[in-house]
Amino acid sequence: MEHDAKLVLAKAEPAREGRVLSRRGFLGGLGGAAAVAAAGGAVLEPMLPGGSRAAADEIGPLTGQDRLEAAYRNRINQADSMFAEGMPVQSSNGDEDLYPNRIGSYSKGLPHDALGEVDPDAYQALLDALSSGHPADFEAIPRGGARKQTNPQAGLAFDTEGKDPHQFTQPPAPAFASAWEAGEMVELYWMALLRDTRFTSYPSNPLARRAAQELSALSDFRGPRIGGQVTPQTLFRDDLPGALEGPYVSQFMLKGTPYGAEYVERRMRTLLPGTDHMTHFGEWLAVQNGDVPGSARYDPVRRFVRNGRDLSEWVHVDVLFQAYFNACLILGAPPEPGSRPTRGGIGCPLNPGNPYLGSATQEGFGTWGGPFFKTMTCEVARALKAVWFQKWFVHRRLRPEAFGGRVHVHRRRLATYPIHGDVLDSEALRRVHQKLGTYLLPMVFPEGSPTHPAYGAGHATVAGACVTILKALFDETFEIPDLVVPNPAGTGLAPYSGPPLTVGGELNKLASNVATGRNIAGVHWRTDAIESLKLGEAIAIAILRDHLAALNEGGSFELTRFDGRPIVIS
Amino acid sequence: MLDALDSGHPADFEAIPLGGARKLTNPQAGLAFDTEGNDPHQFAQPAPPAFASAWEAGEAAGKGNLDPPPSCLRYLLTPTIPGSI
Repeated sequence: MEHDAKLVLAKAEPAREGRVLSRRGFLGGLGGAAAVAAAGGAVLEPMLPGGSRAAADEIGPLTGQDRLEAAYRNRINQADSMFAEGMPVQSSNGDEDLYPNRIGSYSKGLPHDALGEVDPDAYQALLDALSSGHPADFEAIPRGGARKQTNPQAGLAFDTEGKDPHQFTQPPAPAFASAWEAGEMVELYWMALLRDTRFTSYPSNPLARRAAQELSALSDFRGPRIGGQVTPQTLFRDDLPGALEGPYVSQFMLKGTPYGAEYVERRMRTLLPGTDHMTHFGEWLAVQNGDVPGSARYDPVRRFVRNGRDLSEWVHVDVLFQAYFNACLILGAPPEPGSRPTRGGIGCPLNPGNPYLGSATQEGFGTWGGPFFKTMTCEVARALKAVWFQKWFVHRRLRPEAFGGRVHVHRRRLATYPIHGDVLDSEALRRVHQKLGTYLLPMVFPEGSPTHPAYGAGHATVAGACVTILKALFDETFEIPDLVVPNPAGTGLAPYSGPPLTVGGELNKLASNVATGRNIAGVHWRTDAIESLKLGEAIAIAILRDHLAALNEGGSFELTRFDGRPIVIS
Repeated sequence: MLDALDSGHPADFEAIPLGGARKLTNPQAGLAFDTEGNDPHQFAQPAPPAFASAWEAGEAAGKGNLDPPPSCLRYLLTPTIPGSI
């Protein structure tokens, strides 16, 4: 690093001592057409021949070599801060070593035997590639079917801002044989049973009440409670500030999005009710090997997100930061009551730390203004690198669908697995078997889970990162006007009246909706979601610090963390 | 304004007189560092056409980078002809 820096500075030196030639002087010596051509090639070129980088026409507090050195110091300070944070110890739950047949580990897309246990040599090839990091070793991982593994080498990438992706950690996932794991699996079976039940009907729905009762009574269920009990109001939610209040679906998933001169209405293409997949063992096994025998059956009517199946399909095909870019557009645009059909956004006030709040002469734009907000909101999705490291290089947790296969094989007495009684004896499992004749976890997507390990969750990490940025940019205490809920058919929106809902609470709920939507689809566990929201938050805070250090105006970011702690980044 | 741009002090930007309701758009963004790629000041653009140049006149007439402008444009842009601009 030191050596490289000297090289850069040495290269710039002749410009300082040589003939100082302004850009105007340089180009003035050329014909007009030649000047245009030269300009086209020069825009992205940091140093032109002839030392013209020492141009004298710029003004400002730091110019030329002084600016270059200040920019260099800023990068060095950024790297020093990253280095000073050190490396955490990464710990898994130990299941991979505990079970030589790898029944507690991710193995999708590798070859499996008739019970769905992974080929040991194939698993070892995966471990070898992860250990060496050589691209050729990843090419040598055997495939069990058509699908390929999803981007394991992303976990080896460096990054250019915030901390190194390996400097974050997630606690060990629940162990395969634990009551905690069983509790999460019981919740997933209930989610499958309730996929076609409207969220707004949970309080009166007998099945939702049974779900809440059984989850309350489990020996180690760690979802949110009210008065010590899981209730229809806390069912399938996360205990984040505001996320237990009001309707299940965040306002930011329902309100129309002003999109420049265009407008995005939020009705979506969803799936027909009762269209679960992988409920037969042969289909399940084919999917574990990486094949996709089934196909989706779509509802011809577009609907607002009203139930678990809608939410599952929304998070099936969403475009990385789509939920948060929508939220950013809704937050930033002023209301336009007379404009049909958009009516504008909600005009959320800026974060109290924004230095332009008190300015009489300037407004923010590329820094502290609209373009800054949009860029920041989307670019933190780079958080995927850190979670891909956790997935592939630390935890390799099995997907819930694979656990469902173990439950099925165990209950059919084809093999004996150390599965906790809380799930084997659960009402949820009994009801799934009654309804579908299987102990497998019914899945929303024909292909089941993606081909990467469960823990942490990519969606939840990006959700945690993007929502943290939005809370840092806007005033999270602002109350959202004109609250809405979908009508029963999901074909329109009806006004919602109830206690006020704040921007911060509905952003937390949005993150929870996206993270939990993946659980409802059957592809993630509760711990994947909640621990990855926290991971994303930590990544975003590190990036916010780097951005702040790069700005002339000063300012700060004030927000409430997922655990309820208020913080100021300055 | 020039004093504020030269000093880079946020307070100096606050001292710029405004002529009406609108504020200036984010001049301090030009002083920011960045976290990746080159420093924002390491890029250059060629000087734009000079105010008094035929090139500038050609652009004002809406014909893009024409230097020199075709003779018909030169005729149109000659300021001695009343009503030509």
